[in-house]
Order: sequence, then C-alpha cells, then structure tokens
Amino acid sequence: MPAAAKDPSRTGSTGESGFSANITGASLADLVQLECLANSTLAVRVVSGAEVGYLYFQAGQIVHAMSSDAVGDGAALEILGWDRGSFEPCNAGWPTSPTVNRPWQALLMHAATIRDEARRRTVVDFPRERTQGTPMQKPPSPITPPPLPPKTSEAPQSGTTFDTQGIERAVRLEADGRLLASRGDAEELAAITAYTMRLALLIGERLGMEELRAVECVTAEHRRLFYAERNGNLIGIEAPNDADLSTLRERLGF
Amino acid sequence: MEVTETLASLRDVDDVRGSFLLSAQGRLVARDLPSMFHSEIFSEIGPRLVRLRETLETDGDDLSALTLRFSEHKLHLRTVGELLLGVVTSAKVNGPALRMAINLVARRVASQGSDLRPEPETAPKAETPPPPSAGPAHSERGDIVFRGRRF
Repeated sequence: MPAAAKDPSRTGSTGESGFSANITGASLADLVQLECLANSTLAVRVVSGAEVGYLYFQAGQIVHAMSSDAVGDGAALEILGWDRGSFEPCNAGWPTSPTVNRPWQALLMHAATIRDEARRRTVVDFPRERTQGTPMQKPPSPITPPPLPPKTSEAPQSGTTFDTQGIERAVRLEADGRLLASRGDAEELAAITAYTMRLALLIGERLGMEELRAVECVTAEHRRLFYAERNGNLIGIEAPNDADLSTLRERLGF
Repeated sequence: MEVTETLASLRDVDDVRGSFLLSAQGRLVARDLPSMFHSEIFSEIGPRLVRLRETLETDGDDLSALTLRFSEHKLHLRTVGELLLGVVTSAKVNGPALRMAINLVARRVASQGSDLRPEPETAPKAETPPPPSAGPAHSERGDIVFRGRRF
C-alpha cells in the first residue's frame, strides 16, 4: 500500500478540509484533470448507469483503475469513455502495486481518440457509387473495430537495411552516443541525431505522449530521418529532398 | 480573425487534437488545445522546441517542417517566419489534408505576424488572490475551486 494512501486526511475522506462541490455539466476528463493537477492522492468511485468503476490517484497520477470487466489501463480507458454519471471520493482499498502505467494525459488523449472513432463509426457512410473520383483515404468502416497500429510503424530491427539510393549521410549510434557505423561526413550528423532524439523524447514526455518512434525534418534542401532501433541504437539519415525515402518513411509511420 | 480562431480551423481535419503557436523564444503566442495541455507545460517544451529547431538548422539550412512520430500521435511543426506552429494529431491523420490546412493557417498567421505577441507568463498560483466572486462553480480557467483547491 502506498504510504500516502494510509493517511486518511489525504484520501478524500469526509474529514478533509476545504469546500465540497457538486458540479453538473463537467466531463469526466475535466474532473480527472482537476485531481491530477492538484497532485491528489485518493480513490474515486465513478458511477455511470449500471456501471461502477474506481480510479486511484497518487500524487497526481492515475496509478490504478478497476471496472467490472477490467483492471489497469483497460479499465481506466473504459471509465474515461463514459459520458455521464457521478464522480466521488471513496475509501476503497488500495492496490499493492500500480496497474496503470501511462501518464494521465496519455490516457485522456487515448480515451478521446476511442470516443472519436466510436462517433465516426456511427456516421452514415456516403454512398460511394455516386461519388466521382478516388477518395484520398479509405473511409472508416461503420462496423469493424479500429485497426491496430500497422506493423510498418514499429521500430525497425537492428541492422535493417533500406534502399540507400540518394542518401548522402547516415549514422548508427549506440544509445550512449558511440558511433557504430557511418556514411559520408558523420560527425555533425551524429551530434544532431543524438540531440534531436533526446529533445524529442523530452518534449513527448512533457506532452504525455507515448513511445517516441521517429523524427522527420524537412529543410529547403534536405530531408532527415531519425529513429531508434529496437535495441536502442539511434539512426540518422540525410538525403536530398528529391531522394525517394518512401519505403523507410512508410515503415516509420510517416 | 483572431489567431486562436485561425488555429481552430485546423480541427476541420479529422484526428487533429489541437494546435499552438510559439514565438522565436519558445513562448506561447496562442493555443487551441484541449485543457489537458496546461499552458504551463509550454514553459518547458517551448524552449526545447526552439533548441530542436536550432539543432536542425546548424548547417544553415532553414527548417520548414518537422514531425515527431509517437506510437499513437504525431506532433507536426511548421516554421512561420520566426514563429513555430505546432499541431497535435493522432498517428493516422490524413497527411495531405493536414498539409493543406497547415499551409492555409501558416499563411494567415504570417499575415498577422507583426501583431502577434506571446501570452503573459502565468502568475504563480500561490500569489494569485482569490477573485471576489469565486465559488465552487467555474467560469474560466483560473477561477475553478474544486475540493478546496484553486486552479
């Protein structure tokens, strides 16, 4: 049990000082956000119709969630998908270890994505036989669940090779920055690769994003791609803007 | 048109979560983002994005676009003169539609460029006096009191 949770003054009991409020019209995301920004440590019961779920906050992070069907991230996403109900502190027992690992911002964003997709599936598909031309993107199916992330967006395995036609400079670095392989003038590109990936990681963490997959940069003359292989090695590639990097770009999920 | 309204037009494209505009120093100029992205986070990521831009321009080649690809989302960045336009999307956003929407917004922002000023820094919460009419209900960010705490 977390030490903080043993202190009843911090667990949302009725003896807590301050105002109590009855807010109507707020979304569950608003209320979750309030607890997170306040660095709260408490358990909350969420009731929506016949459904009951529990969210556990510790120092402003969601550390545990339970619904009737799931525990952990799945339960948190299920609860955050409910669009009406009540939200109140409770004295539910604490878990022995956290079951939710994602930052709360990432959970809220993922829940919003799931809601968007569910809403889109309820939209009546426009009769395509009456339209002219080719749609830019295949419309979402009104029945099938959202597709899993394509394998092409997974980090390439170590040693993966690509069509290197047109690549002017390339580096492969170990996670600690040691140069493993290079093509062209590598010193500057190695430094750019290492620092770019580090900054991108920090920016993503602060925004509550998930795992960093890759970075693409376009300048007036060049396109650069940076990514981490599954073993943690960093890759930096630089090519003229007119070089065909489409296979690699697709594989990295761009 | 207010720059925030200009940014809001990006949400016409499916899977766009929101957008923001940073000054050359990385300070927030305008935002159209869900409230989960608190303005205070920009005091950290703003300067980092500026450093990222500077890093990628070290050889004198001006940056035009930058995309950070995360497993489920993307952060798209576009330079607009000295400003930096950021757009948060899900990973499966329609790329061509987004590029066109960003082009239009970048053009509008560029035309407003000299009028754009960074938002004032957020005052430390502890020093913010309570507004006279503050109550448990909330009217706008900064006036919310919930469970005895002010936000």
